[in-house]
Amino acid sequence: MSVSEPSTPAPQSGRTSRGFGRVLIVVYGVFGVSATARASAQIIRDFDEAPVAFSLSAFAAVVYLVATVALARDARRVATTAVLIELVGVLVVATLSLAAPDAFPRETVWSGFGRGYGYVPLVLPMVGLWWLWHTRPRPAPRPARS
Amino acid sequence: MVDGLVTVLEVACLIAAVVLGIEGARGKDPLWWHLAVVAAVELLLLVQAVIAVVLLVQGDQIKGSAGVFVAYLVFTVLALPVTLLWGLGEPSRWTLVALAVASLVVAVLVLRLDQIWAGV
Repeated sequence: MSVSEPSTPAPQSGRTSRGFGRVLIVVYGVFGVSATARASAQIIRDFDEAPVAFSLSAFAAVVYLVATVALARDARRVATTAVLIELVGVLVVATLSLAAPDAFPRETVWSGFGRGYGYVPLVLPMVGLWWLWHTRPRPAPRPARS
Repeated sequence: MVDGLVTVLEVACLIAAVVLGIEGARGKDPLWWHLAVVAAVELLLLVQAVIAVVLLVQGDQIKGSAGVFVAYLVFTVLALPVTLLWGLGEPSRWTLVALAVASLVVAVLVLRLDQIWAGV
């Protein structure tokens, strides 16, 4: 939307929960909650159908929740780890599910690069990493010498 | 579920998403009429939830997964108020953008609710 607008105020150094971060956290929260609900339903009802796929869905859901909380609490290291796991997860699982469809008889949130979710699972970690980089802690600018 | 209501909800959610998204992109801070837009959509969502509960109590059957249906129904009712509370922790243009995103998500979930109800 207006992320790259020049009028975007400079983020407070090191804070991931400010400004655009609020929007990002809402999206992460939505994903965390809905993925948790879906994975729980799948595991409770028909875990035996696709144990690997459903376990993976549950794992992905937990990672989204961790990322949500970490971003909201400015826990940069935890947030970075969670976001990186998501990026690796979506790339590896999507590639595997294309190469060996038998291993994933049922869709996970990461299958087909998140196709079932409008590719949000693929885009979200990239935006997350960009935001973490954008808000990286920077030393306060030194007063200019005259 | 109720076809007319689903259409009304979709239109309402999309209008809210576009209006709030544009206002956020223009750098506006949250104003009262923004909150009124959110409240109007939320009212429709509550109506839908009440109708769904009444239909279920009267013995209508969900053709899809009942657990997922109930989870999504709760989610559609809570999404906007929670986003609003979270966004007003730091009122800014991003509050409006966050609400626009939440409206889009609710629009998708209302469609899914209708599909699960019909067993699609």
